[in-house]
Amino acid sequence: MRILAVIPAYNEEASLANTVEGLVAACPGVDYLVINDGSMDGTERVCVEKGLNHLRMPVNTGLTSGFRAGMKYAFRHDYDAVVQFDADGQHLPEYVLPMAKALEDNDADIVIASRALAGEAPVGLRNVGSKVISWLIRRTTGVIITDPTSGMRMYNRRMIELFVRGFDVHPEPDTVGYVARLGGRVVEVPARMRERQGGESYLTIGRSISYMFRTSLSILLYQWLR
Amino acid sequence: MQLSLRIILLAGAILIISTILRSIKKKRILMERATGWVCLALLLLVIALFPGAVIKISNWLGFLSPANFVFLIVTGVLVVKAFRDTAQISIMQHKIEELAQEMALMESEAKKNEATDA
Repeated sequence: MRILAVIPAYNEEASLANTVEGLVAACPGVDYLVINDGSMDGTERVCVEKGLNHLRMPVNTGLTSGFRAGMKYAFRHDYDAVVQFDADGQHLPEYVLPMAKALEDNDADIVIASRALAGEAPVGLRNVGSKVISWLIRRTTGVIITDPTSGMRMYNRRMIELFVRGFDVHPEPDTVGYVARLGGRVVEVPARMRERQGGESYLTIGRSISYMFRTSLSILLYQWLR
Repeated sequence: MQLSLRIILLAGAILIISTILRSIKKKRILMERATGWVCLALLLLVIALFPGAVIKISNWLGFLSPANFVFLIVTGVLVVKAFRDTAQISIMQHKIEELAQEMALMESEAKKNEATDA
């Protein structure tokens, strides 16, 4: 199975090189592609100096668009699976191969690296948000997803095609719910994660609230509409 | 607040919501663009179903009629939305120009490379 790790990077000069080095060392058989999504910092310089396999988006287009560029690359280069891997060092590469095994063994469409299954619950408001999204997905699809906001997800070839051709498809919990509702198989494997290893999170309080509102609305509307 | 105004607000809210749902289904708008309109529809719904609070605030502010206050609220929301759309269009315009420039430069560089290769 040919696996591509898609690493979206927006202003991640501090952690990107370490993240890629860690990934390559831990998973020699896995290819990677960094998506420099119009960063304002030295992300492009890091990519060029270290000779990283990367795409440079000429303008900042957002996580969804950057990730879809990675999916198109995977589609054109005939990869069997894509894993969404954060540039900030939160995701641990040793879980990539277990995720691939789960994808194959269960004939799954999406495999999620679940912190909850590893006994690590996010704290405070993040936990509340995660629980609300879990509950909504369970109510609308009957599928139990313990860690819907985990950003470490692996997609099979069918999902790659969905991302390449789809309209309004995101590497986010609402799309996981949408796929589950259409009868796609979503599996979780236990995984630990680290704190981000540098750079800044884009999730401020205001953005978190609008993220929750949008995600919840999206999960509900998908139920009735698609 | 007159019953007629409440009914019209209710009808407006239903019209907005049904238009949004149809547009999402037909893949004409993105989900993230729909949320603002859903909020507006909910606002109209709340005003139509529970006019008490609006009437109180309207009287307290000294409006001649709560209907005037409702018009002001809706106009205000629309002005904010229109401005935010303008801001977003500005950024999109900038990005499209940027992309066109990048593509033109890339094409000229590719042609030069071809010429030197040949």
